[in-house]
Amino acid sequence: MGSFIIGAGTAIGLAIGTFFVLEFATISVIEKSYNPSLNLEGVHIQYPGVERVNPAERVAEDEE
Amino acid sequence: MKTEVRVRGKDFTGYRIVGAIAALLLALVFAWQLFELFDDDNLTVPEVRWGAAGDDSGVAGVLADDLITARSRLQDERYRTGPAPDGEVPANALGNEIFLTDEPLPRDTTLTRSWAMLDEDTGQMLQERQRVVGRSSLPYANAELFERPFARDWRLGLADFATHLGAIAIIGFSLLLALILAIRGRVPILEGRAHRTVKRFNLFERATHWMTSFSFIMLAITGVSIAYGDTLIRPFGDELLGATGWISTWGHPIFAPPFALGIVFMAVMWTMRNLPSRLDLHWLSKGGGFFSDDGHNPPARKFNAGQKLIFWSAILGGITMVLSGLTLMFPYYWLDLEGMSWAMLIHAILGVLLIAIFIGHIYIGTVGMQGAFWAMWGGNVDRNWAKEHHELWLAEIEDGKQGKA
Repeated sequence: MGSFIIGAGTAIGLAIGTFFVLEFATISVIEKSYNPSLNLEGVHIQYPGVERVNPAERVAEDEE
Repeated sequence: MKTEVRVRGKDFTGYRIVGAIAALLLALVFAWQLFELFDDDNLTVPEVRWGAAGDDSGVAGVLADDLITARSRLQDERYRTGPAPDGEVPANALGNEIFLTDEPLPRDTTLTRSWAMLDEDTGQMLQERQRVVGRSSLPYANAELFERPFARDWRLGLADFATHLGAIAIIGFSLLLALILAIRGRVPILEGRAHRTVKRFNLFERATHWMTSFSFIMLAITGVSIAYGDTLIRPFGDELLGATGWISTWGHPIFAPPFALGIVFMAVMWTMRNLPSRLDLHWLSKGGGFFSDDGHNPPARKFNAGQKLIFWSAILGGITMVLSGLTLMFPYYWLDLEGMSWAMLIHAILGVLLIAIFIGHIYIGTVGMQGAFWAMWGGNVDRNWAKEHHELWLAEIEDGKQGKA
């Protein structure tokens, strides 16, 4: 019983550690390479016009 | 070995009834799998319709071609000019509005460049002679690729060979074990328990075994969920498939490091005792003595030939799974498209085979053999169990103790 708890616990601990390492590594690789086609969530930074799709809204902003 | 037989396999009536029920259920599932294999419901040949929606006139291809050409021209025109500032925006033009903005895109932007210019890997997919292409109105070169013959063959291997035969291997082997339990019963300790124990595995060995086996079971469950989710989980709802898919996609790679570590530890601890010997041939020729209760089990040292086969399956199969899995976690880092495809196929086929093999290991270590489970759970085994299944190992230990005394 003790050996099972030690073994399974170590496996779970290493798995949780791996999760955080993988997540951190994935995010930092995308940020470092700064390639928007890898991370389409940042597309609005490259193309500010994309967010303003409504022409009427755009006119109102320009007038301000 | 002369043994007074006190317990026979057929004495375990309860186990045999459970085995029979399990065999019946598994036989039904096995029959369903066989039906699936031959029902012509082929997963690998996609249904291709070429034409405009709702057009059954027989000239669909021509119409669709005209339609796509016209749409491409319109998109190209709008991309160059943008919508007229004062013009009315059609209600359904939202999609075009996003991408066909009146603000011209900066030249050489990364997003458009990645669409228009192919890198080495995507270029490989579009090589002449290896593709079937059509025409697309999308500003994305890969959209014109309909099919790669190699990918079609690969899909045949993965979707038909690996999944169907994998399911048959897992279910078929489980069925076989259930039948053995029902007909033969448990492998008993023939002389009954001696109520004296022998130390078989120390704490470190057992903890390593459980770390590796727990990781393997997690990898197997998540892997089966990835490979068979569409068959096994989708009937309970798309949302459940989505949730288990997400959990499995993360859960599968994160249990790779403890599994790999366990494989390394086990290789260091047990390789010397698992090297093949002449005794193994004798043991295998007698079927390990598992099919009779006459008390004439072939002699074995600490690990018999069956355990050695399990050990080498774990080590060699585990290393191959870890290496092919790492390749899939880091796509295109050191293999090209074809190499990636082979890595995935090997990972899938070996994965289902290892699951089938380790179902056998779990069976014989739990319900299949009386007294075996305690070797890994508490570390001690009954002396009579050791005498019947690992006679030479027991003699080795007892001679060693006498020598020390």
